[in-house]
Amino acid sequence: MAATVLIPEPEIDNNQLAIIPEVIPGSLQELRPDTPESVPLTLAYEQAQPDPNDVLYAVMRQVGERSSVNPWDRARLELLRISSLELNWDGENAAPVMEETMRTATVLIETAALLGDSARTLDQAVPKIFPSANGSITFKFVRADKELKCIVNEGTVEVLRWQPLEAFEAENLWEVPVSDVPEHIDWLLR
Amino acid sequence: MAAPVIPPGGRVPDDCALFRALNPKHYEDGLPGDNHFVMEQSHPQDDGVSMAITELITLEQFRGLSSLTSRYGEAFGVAELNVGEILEPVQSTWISVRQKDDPLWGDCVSAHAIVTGYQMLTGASGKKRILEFQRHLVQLARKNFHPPVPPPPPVAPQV
Repeated sequence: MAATVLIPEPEIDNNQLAIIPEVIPGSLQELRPDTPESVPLTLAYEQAQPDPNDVLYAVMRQVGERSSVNPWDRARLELLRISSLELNWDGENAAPVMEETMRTATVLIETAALLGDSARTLDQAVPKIFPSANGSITFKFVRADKELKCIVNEGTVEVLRWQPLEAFEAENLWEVPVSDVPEHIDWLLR
Repeated sequence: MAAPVIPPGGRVPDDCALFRALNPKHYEDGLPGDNHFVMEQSHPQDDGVSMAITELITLEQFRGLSSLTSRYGEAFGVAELNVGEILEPVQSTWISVRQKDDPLWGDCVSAHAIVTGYQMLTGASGKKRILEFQRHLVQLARKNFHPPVPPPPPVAPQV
């Protein structure tokens, strides 16, 4: 059974939320505590305990309360978990994720979700998300014979693309602001 | 097979295999991930990704090394990679696998090796090559790894 989370309701500035669109209408499902899938998500949500007044946390919490199975919501929850990692989270002096890195990562995932939705390939383009020992966040997208890796570090995103998947050499290494990432996601979805 | 004779600091032959200890916090969906093979241009020149030469240490000995169990716990996951396969796509670079004694490895001191030389790859092109090489190592590790051994179930107390 899912446990209840009792956290004071934060005040959210709607202007701040504008960059994080409401999760795609119709794609969310109600939290179903009795389904096996919802248990780890609920646990992940409960284990992540950043500042309850943080806007990002408020959004993630909203997502966590409303959905358990949408793959993009899983990705958002994973971001929430990553945001709560502390110094030495891996026992080998890994750095925590800085706030700017988290915000850039949030913009990236919402951009990817919107592009994936508009291309009607929503589930196929959901990235795997991993924290890195140096405090960056890595997004790995794989679709058909293409792989796109985005490494978010503060306000910059390092982008690598492989096609086909067996290729050793990447097409290039781009260091771009998050606003330039959509062209690479377009490449993935093409 | 006779154990290879590798001079201190010498190159490990291509036909050797290596163990890589896997930090349990760094798995990606239960598989070896990028963080298991972190390589930075800023790493010291004589440093590198720590490995064990399988011809000089058994898996059980490797899993019993106190310098590893103190960090990863008992029976951590271990990837096994072939030296020739590791170096195949980077033959034209400075990257190599070299023996390097680790005094913390007790009787197996000479079984320690490092993947090194990536520090010589400079600039954006060097960074790109390191990231490509890291992905290559992850793919190799996923082909052949010994998962963590789960602890035995607790024994119910006799009533």
